[in-house]
Amino acid sequence: MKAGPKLPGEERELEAELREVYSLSKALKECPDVFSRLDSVFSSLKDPFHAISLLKEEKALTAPEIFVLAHFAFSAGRVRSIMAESEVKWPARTVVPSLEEVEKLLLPGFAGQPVFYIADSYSRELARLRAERKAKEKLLRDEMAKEAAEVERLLGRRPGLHEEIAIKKTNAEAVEKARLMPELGEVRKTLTHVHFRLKATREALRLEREISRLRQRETHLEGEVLASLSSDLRKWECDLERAAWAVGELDYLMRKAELAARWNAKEPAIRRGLSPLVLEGAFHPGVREEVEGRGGTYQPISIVLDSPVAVVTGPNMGGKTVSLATVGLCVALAQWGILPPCDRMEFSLYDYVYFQPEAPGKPGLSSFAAEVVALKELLVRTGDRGLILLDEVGRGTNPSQGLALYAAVLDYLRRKAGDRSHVMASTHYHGLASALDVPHWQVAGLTPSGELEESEAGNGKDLDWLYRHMDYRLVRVGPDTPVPQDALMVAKVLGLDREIIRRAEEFVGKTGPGDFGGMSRVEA
Amino acid sequence: MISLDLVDIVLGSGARSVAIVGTAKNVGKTVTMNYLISALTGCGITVGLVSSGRDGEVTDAFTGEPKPSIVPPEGAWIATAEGVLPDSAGFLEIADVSERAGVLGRTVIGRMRESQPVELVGPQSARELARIVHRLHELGARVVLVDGALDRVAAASPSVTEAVILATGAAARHDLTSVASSVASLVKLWSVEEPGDPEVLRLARRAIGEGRVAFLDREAVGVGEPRFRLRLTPFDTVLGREEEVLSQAGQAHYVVIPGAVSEKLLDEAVNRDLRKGFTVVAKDPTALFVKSYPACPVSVAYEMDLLAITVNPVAVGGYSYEPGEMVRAVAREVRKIAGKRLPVFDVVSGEKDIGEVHEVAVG
Repeated sequence: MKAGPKLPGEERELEAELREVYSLSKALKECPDVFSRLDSVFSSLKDPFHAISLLKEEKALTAPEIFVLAHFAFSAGRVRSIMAESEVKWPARTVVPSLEEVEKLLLPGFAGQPVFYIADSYSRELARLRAERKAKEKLLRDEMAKEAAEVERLLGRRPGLHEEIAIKKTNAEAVEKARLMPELGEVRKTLTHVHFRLKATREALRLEREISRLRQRETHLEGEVLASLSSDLRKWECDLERAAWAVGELDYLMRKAELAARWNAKEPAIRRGLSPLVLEGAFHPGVREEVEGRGGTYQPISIVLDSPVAVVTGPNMGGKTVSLATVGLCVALAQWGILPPCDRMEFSLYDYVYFQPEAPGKPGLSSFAAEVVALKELLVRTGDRGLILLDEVGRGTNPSQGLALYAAVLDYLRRKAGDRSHVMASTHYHGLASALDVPHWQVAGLTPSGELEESEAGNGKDLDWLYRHMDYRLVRVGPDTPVPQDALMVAKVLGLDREIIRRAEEFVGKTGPGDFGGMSRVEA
Repeated sequence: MISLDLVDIVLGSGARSVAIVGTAKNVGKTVTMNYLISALTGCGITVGLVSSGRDGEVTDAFTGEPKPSIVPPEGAWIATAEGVLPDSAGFLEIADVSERAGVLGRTVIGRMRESQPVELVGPQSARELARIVHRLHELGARVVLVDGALDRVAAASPSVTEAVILATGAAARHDLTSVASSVASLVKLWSVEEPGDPEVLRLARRAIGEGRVAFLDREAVGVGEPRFRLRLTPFDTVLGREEEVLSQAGQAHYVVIPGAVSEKLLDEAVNRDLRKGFTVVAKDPTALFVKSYPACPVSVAYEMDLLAITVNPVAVGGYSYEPGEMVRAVAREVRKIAGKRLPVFDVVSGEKDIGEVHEVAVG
């Protein structure tokens, strides 16, 4: 199956893929033991692709490569039998072909965990050589032991590590005796000791030569066994490759099913042509995990993008960026064949998802300049069908010019790409939506019941308070909705000096809640 | 007095994995390894063998002769890189091949079908090394020996091995006193203990687990309530930002550092006007990258079990010390500098100073 996201025109394939994931996620809930048994096989699975590519190149495999194939064949066999025994309806492409013959060849008569070595049974000649060499090695050991015994008889000590014996220089008599012994050779002198090593006798030298010759022949024969096994394995090259892909597909599909089960995700409805993007109960899995990890309650969002441009406003810490990310994630995951983290989703496929969160830091560029560069890249793609997620464009520059620029960008996108794209744009400029006459979504914000008690501020638990009282849901509002005073509230919660907050409230009182050139009037 | 041997010390410790760490080249680390391999095997114990990284040369710089190599007995489990194994690896029953590859290829784990010299090349990262030690145990090794070196300290980390043996020798320094005092200083550093307060230890281990630099602030609370509060910082390392990290200490009593602890941080901790007794808590002693013992209080989240020291009285240059004298000199310096009685052995001559481990220390 093609890797990567499904694009417009591939709706039918994506539907089939998502249906597979959904039915497998149901199966996972019904028979979790099948999945955990498969997982235990996957956890020690060896990647056979390198060995398979060597087979294709007609190269001889090394012993570790053959082990990898043996282990893979064994694992594939277990996967096959677990799948066959289960009641689950597996997609055809995940059905693993039998590799019984490979197992028979590489793991003759084994029980338990697979191991590989060049067994004597692969070559009678090799078995004979090995036996002969071992016999010679025994003779050599006996020969050296005889010598060591002789040294012990004469010097009262046996040679130790590396067949060496060190004699104190002060014991001149013993040193002299050792020098005269044909069994010993002097190897070095230190300040205090003379070191001798056991000398090989003529017989020992002869044995050593023979052993080395036998070893060389063994190595040669072992190479031949590897070559012959590799050529035998070539017969099952196609089966091995099919099995490897099937196991890979199965693993990937199971991970997708696992996510779907964990998120309780459903199949999205995929529309043809550009239709509204509808999300209900959508959440960002990473953020939800973090929130729940600190004991909080995560609030999913719902939104409908039914016009070319929609504007989202809300307080700082109100989750605007997370909302943008959630929408982008749901679409991207769905197009990658992963059931999106939401209760309901309706959408049509996009060619791309553009997500411009906080200004990307590039060396030598101010945040505003970096933003402009990123926007230029986006505008090149307006001919394709896109989901464009913009986060406070123009925040890094003069407020009125920043706003004007943002409005102009949105207007441009509406005109140039409105018939094929959706733009979701977050901002602090409350008037932007009505200025452009586009739908306005607002973070519900700090709940009225969440009035800040004096005692709660500045005690180090401010963030907890904020998390508890912030309503992260998105609400569609009309042009006459008053601007919430959430910014001052957030500053208050975070413990900013009360005098500053009071003064700010006075300014707002004078200038009104709007955001066009407010500061200059206050200064006046 | 009972005559204790190095192998008795290892068995008596109950450690299932032991790092043998050389303080320099040619200090007899491999001799100690081979000695333990044969002694443990002699006791009917199946050994597992792995190395952290690779030993530099295969031949002796002075004599040009091959340096002693590891000779695992039949039945021993080994882990080494496929790049140093012959293609057929006829002596090895391969039971695992790692997915991750290093410079010399993947790590192959197998059981020796017959005894023969092998080159051990293992991963350098503590995490991968720990995984392989675990795998060797799973496959049937009862005691795993990890070949390490001072420039590859991962082997000695308590996250990898349960106990450590230090190997030093005449080759480490040019006179006996400095050989002895340098290993004694290392013993002192590697004997840094866990904090005595179990609550501090628990919190420190939590911060280490999170992989973040953290401070422990004392809280004024009632009886039975936690006395320390863990304050995690966004930093995962202090390297290059020592001052920045410590500037956030505030009223903290401890700073817990998950990664390497630099000399600069310890100096900063001393120089800064921090509260008396402000303690730096490292993950384990191998995380302390210092030339000398730190001047500020230090402790570790996981202490090391140092079992013994082995000495090699012969240096490459041909000079050597009298084994007994060297063993006693090292034992004496360790008592003097590290305030510790640690058994010292020369496994070649059989000289030892077992530090009167049987006697009850007085005073």
